[in-house]
Amino acid sequence: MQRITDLTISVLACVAAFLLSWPFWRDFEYWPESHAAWLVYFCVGFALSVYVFYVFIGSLRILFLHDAAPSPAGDDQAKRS
Amino acid sequence: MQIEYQTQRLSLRFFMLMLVLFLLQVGYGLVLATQHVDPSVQAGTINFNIARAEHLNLGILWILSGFIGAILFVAPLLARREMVAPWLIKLLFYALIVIAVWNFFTLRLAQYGIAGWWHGQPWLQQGLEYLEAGRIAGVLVLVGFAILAYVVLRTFPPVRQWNEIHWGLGLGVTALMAVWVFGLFYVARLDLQEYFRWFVVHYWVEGVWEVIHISLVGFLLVLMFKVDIKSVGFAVFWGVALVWLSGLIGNAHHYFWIGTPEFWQFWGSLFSALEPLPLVFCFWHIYLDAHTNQRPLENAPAFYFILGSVVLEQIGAGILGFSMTFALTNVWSHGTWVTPGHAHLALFGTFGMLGIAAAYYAVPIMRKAPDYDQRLGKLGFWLVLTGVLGLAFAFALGGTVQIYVYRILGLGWFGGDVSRAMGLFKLLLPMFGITFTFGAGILAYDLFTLGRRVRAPAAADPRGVLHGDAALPRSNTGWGRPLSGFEAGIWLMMMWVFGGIITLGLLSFNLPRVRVLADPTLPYLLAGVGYPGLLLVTLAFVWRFLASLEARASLPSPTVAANVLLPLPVRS
Repeated sequence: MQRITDLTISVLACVAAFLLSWPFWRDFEYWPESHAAWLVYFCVGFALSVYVFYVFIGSLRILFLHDAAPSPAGDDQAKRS
Repeated sequence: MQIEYQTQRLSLRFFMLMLVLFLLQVGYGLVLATQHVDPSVQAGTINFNIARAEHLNLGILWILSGFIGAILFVAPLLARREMVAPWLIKLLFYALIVIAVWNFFTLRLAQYGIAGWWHGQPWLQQGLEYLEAGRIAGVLVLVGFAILAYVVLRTFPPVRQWNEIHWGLGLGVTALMAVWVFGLFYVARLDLQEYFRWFVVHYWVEGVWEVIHISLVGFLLVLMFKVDIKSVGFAVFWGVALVWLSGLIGNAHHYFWIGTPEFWQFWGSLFSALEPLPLVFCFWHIYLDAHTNQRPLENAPAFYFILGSVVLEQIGAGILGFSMTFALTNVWSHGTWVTPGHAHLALFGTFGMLGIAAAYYAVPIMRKAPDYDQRLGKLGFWLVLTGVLGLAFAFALGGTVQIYVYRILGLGWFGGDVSRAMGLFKLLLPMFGITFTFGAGILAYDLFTLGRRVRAPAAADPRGVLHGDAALPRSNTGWGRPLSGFEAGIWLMMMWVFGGIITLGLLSFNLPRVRVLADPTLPYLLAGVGYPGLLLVTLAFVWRFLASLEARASLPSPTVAANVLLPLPVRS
C-alpha cells in the first residue's frame, strides 16, 4: 500500500512537472524530423523523473524513521562510561 | 572543547584569507550597487563589467578558501590522525593568495581588450561570464585542487573504512579538480564553448560544491549536536544521490537559449524541476538533527550560519531556482535581474554562509576561546541575512519590471527607459548593500579578533549573556516554544506556496493579455505578493527556529567533540 501511495504521489508530481515542461509554444513546427525520437524523450524523461521522486519520498521517510529511533551513539557513550 | 590534532590549525589561515577576500568582494558589490544608481561613478576607472567580474571571482575564491579551511579542520577528525604533508597545505595557501592577487589584476585587462592570446589560448583573461580568469590562473587553480585532493585522500583511512561523510568529501575534492578541467580550453564555436562553460558553472558549483556542502553540514551537525553519525551518513548519501539524480540532466536548464538541440528545453525543464528535492531533504535533515537530542546551542553563531545556509539554499537555489527553471518561465527571466536575485541567495546563502559557519565553529577552538562573546556573531548574522534577502527582493522585483519594459514593451536598454522604470529597485540595492556590508564588517572583525579581545569578567555577566546561551535558558513559550515537525512542515509549505505564486507570475508573461495586450497587472500582482511573502516568511522562520533552540534548558557541557566518532563508523 505504501509503495502504491508513493508511486501515485510521484506520478502526480511528475505529471505537473511534465505539463510545465511541455514545449507548448513550439506548435510542433520546429520539431526534429523524428517524432519517434521525441516520444522516446518524453517517455524516458517521465519514467526517470518518476523514479527520482519515488526515491526521494522513500529516503525522506527513512530519514524520519532514523531520527525517531533511539541513538546508538548514546548507547556507545554509556558503554564507554 | 580543544583541538585534537595540531594540523587542524592549518585551517585558520584559510578562514582569515576567506574574510579578507569576502570584504573585498563586498566592497566591489557596493561599487556595483552605486553604479546601478549612477552609471557614471568610476566609469573609465572601474567599468561595470570589470567590477562585476571581480565581484563574481572574489565570491568564488573566498568561498573556496572557506571550504578548504573547513575541510582541513574536519579531515584529521575523520581520519583520526594528523594531516599528511602539511608543507603542501602551506604551499596551497600561498598559491591561493597568488591566484587571488593575479586574478584581481588580470581581470582589469578586459577594460583594455587584452586577453593575452598565445597558442590559441587566452592566458590573462577570457571574458567568459563566471569563468573570466585567464588560463594561467585556471591552471594554478587546478594545481591547487590537486594538492587539496592529494592531502585529503592521503589523510583519510583506507577506502574500506570510509563512511558516507568520507565518501562525500573524498568524491567532492576529487571532482572539484576533475570538473574544473572543462573550463581550461578555448573552443572557437560559441555554442560548444557554452556547453563546457556550463559544465563548470553548473556541475562544479551546483554539483560538486553541493556534495561538499551536504557532507560538511552533516559533519558539523555531528560535532555540534552529537547526532548519530549513521543517521547523518544516511542523509549525506541520499542528499548526494538526489543532487546527482536530478542535477546531472537538470543542468540542461542552462542550454535553453545557447543554440543547442531543442529537446533540452523539455528535459532541462523536467529534470531541473526535481532539483529542489535534495534541498527539501537537507531542510528536514537539519531540522531533525537539531531537534533529536534537545541539546542547547553552545556555539550559537556557528549554528545560525548553518541554518542560514540550509534555509537560503531552500529559498534561493530551491524555490527561486524552481520558479525560473522551466523554459516557459526562463524565456522571460534569463538575462534579467530576476537571475541575480536567485544567485545571491544561492551562492552566498548556501556556500558562503557554510564557510562562515565553519569558521565560527573552528576559530574559537583554535584560539582557545570556547566561551567567546557571541553577540557580535549573532548581530552580524541578522544583518547579512536581512541584507541579502533585501538584495534578492530588489533584484527580483526590479527584474519583473525589467521583463515587462524590456521584453514585453520592447523598449531599448540604451534608450534609458528600462533603467528609469527600474529606478526604485536600483535605489534599494545600495540600501540593502550597506546593511549587508555592516554585517560583513562585524563578522570579519569578530572572527579576526576572536579570542584576542579583552573579555568581560564573569561577575559582569551573571546571566551568561556574553558567553553563549547554554547558561541562559530563554522563555520556551511563544516564539521560543519547541518547534514541532508539523509546524516546520507548515513553514516549509508556506515558503513553497509563495514560490508557486512567483512561478505563476513568471508564467503569466506567456498569456496573450500580457504578451500581446501589454497588460502587466497579473505578473506585477503575483510578483508583488510572491517575493515579499517568501522573503518575510523566510526571515520569520529563521527567527522562529533559532528562538526555539535558544530556549532549550541548559545541559551539562558535552565531551570533546570528536569523541562521538569513536569507534570509526563503517558503512552499514
